[in-house]
Amino acid sequence: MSNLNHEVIGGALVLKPSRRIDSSSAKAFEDDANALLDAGPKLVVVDAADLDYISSAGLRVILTTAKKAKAGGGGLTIACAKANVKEVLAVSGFDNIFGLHDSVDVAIAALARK
Amino acid sequence: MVSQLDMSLANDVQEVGRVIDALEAFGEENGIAPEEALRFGLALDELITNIISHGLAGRGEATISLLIEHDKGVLRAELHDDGLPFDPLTADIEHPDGDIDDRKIGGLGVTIVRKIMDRLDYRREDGFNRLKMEMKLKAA
Repeated sequence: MSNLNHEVIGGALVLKPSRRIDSSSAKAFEDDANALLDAGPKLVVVDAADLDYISSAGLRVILTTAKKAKAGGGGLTIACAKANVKEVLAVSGFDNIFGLHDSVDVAIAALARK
Repeated sequence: MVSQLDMSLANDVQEVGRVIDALEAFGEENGIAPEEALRFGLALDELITNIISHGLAGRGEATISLLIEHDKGVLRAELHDDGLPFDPLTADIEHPDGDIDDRKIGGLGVTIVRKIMDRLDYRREDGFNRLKMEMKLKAA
């Protein structure tokens, strides 16, 4: 059973991790995201509204999730990132790779256009 | 007033969660903004994860100790470990580029540490890595 908050909106899988994705919780996120991706849509939005913190171990699992989504013909993007999370995404260049959006709706529309 | 948080860590990546929990509580007690405590915690997370994943890889028992101090608008930490020598000040880091298919994460942790910390001081001494670091807090 997945502990990762998620829902399917407009044909996209919206993942809503809470608090932190650090090296002690990254594996659980990866396992949950993989299972949800196997069973659901391949368009993925990471809704970061409740996420206070992400480390490079967290970025690694976002990247593996994105690769899996892409291999399934979909893609991944990020919405509603807070300042701390944005900083890490910017340092890594992930903001450019995945795109940052101000709302889940805008993120879903951006994925659908690709 | 100077307040301190002293922790001894096991050689297990799950310890990172405990460090950040403790740092959040420490920040709250000391009136530090949660985002700033977490930012400092992120740098410590990256360093401790490096030590456990690389410096101590394949080892069981090991010594990792962490001392955190808050004093006059500055957060300081001292991190000691008896793993392989690793100096995050001089470590080579890959530049982040490439698209999703060939992107690697290696080295990113060190980049994050250098960005967050205002001072870093590394010494290898008596078989230990001894890293001192400092982050200035933004005026409340």
